[in-house]
Amino acid sequence: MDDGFAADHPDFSLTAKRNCSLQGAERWRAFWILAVVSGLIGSASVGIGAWPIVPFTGLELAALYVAFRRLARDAGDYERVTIRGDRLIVESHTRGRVCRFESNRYWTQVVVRKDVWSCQIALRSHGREIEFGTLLSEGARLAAARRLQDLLRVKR
Amino acid sequence: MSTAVHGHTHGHDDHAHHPTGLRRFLTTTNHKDIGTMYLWFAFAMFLTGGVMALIIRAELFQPGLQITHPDFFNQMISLHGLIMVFGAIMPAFVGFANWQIPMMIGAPDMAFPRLNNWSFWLLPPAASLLVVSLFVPGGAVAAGWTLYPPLTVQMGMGMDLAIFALHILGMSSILGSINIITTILNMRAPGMTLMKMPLFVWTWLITAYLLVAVMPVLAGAVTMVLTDRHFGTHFFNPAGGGDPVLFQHVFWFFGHPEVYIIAIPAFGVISQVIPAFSRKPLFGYTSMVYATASIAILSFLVWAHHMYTTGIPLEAQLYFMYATSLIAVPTGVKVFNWVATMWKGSLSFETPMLFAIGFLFLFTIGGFTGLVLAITPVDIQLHDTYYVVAHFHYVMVAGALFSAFAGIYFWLPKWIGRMYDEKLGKWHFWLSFITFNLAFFVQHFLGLAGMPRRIPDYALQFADFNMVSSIGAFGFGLSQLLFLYIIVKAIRSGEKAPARPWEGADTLEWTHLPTPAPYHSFETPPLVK
Repeated sequence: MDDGFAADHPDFSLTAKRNCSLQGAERWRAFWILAVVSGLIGSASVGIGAWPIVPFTGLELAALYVAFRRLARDAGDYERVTIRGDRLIVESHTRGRVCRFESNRYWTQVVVRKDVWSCQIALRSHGREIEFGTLLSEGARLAAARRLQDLLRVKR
Repeated sequence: MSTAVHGHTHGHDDHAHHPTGLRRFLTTTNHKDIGTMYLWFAFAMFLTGGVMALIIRAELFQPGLQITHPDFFNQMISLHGLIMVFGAIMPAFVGFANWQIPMMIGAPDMAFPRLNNWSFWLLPPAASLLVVSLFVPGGAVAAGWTLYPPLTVQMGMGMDLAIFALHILGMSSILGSINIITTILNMRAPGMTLMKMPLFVWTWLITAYLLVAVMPVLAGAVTMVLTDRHFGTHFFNPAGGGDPVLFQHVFWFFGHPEVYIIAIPAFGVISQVIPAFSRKPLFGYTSMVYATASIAILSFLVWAHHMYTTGIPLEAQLYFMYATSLIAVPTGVKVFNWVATMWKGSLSFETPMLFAIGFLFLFTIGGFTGLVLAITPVDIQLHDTYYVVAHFHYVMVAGALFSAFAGIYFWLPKWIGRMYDEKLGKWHFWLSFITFNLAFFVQHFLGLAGMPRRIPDYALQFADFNMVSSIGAFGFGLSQLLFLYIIVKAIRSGEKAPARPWEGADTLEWTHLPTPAPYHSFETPPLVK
């Protein structure tokens, strides 16, 4: 989480990203190590006449691919809220889709939805609403909600 | 509920809300809940498989047929093996993985929490299928846990249920492994490089790779049995041009790595416990990582040492004998490093350490007897005797189970926030240690004297050692009820655990989290230096 709030600068920016310890090339290297070993075992099994192993290897590698693909897709996700002057801008990049929400800072409300399963925060203005903080932990999400509420309540 | 925030402060516990009751466990995606469920499930299966073991030992208490029909006896030995391997030991270590891996790498949960829930909930139906197969016409699978054809091709529908159960268990293992691999590789806290990971995490990463590599092989093997049984194929039927030995090759290509799938996480637990109670860092961390990886790689290259008597060529026998003996090198490195960690350490002997030392002592015996069995001319004499039974119980029970006990006593304060009764824990260790040796050490002598395994009756000359073994087995079984009592007592009325009950434990869950670990931990990853 990058919290860029400076005392002499009225703007506020908060960016949330996933913690990914595996970078692009490493991610696919890890996948290919698994895939090559399983592929070799599958090929050898065909060689000895035990070909029914191959469909299971295929299914497994497909599941593994989906898992790594999803890691790769989610690695680029971010959410950013920026307050500049009287403008509030929320950008979210989720699974390749970019959403942008812009509103007047003084007409925006922070909404918290809490139930037994989860806790969501959203920013609402003029009937429009955008969820924020999905990449933050629950604690950090509530802290961000409080911080935003304080900033949005600042009088002109 | 929808509310606007008014800037009031929240305590951390406000965020720890979670569902309660049965719904919590059915739908939970929390790694701690799922870890707990894995561990309780494993214990239930351990008791189920244990009762089967006691039926076997009761029958073998004296020569002659007293309690069971020979066919039921065969069903007991088969289900005992399958339930203990797939239902008890493997899920127990997956339980450890669920609890510990996220906390040890500073991650908030597993990479795919919902998948984690599915992985667990596949287990109870699979285990039920295995147990229910006892009540179908023809009874349960009775060909041993190795499921060799042609017996398995000829059996009743209990075999079909076992095949279905193995498919489901395999699916659970694969989904769990994918989750573990992605969690370890992608969710480590900033600064935690691979070579800074605790050894338990390393061992699970390697184990998960092994599982991904070999589980399709098991699935394929049992599918071939299934198609031979019902769909007119002849993979293993010589009358149709098939070869029963093909099954053995395929099965043991899965089966030998499977031994290490069970043993390697056990090594990981021991590698956390021994340094903590020696108050020293693990000796030779890097060599431990490489030794573990070497064991995993070698485990793919030695499968036919289980098949010396099938008529494999002499050259193959020589190769498999040498390759198998080679595994003693990295295993020796590990044993050396554990002993060197204790050397000049400030040792204390709480229950986890006792079980770890018990593991070290007994697993080394199991390793040495494995080396004996790796020697082709010796194995030809000892094949399918009680020597083999003794060997693999020293590896599986003294190796895996003792390390699981060490791990449970070690991490229990972190999990539940309460201490177990140390005095009773030590009783549990000593009773288990003595009765285990009583049950299994004498089986070496039975095997050397030529008693075959998997028989309900035996010649009179084996009577005394069998009686001793059965007494030991019943003692060992009863000792585990003491373990259950210790755990329940700790949960209900154990003393409150201090934040760091073991001063030598220095992984993230001990240094960065309160005791007990909160329901949601490391929501913000720690920085590892």
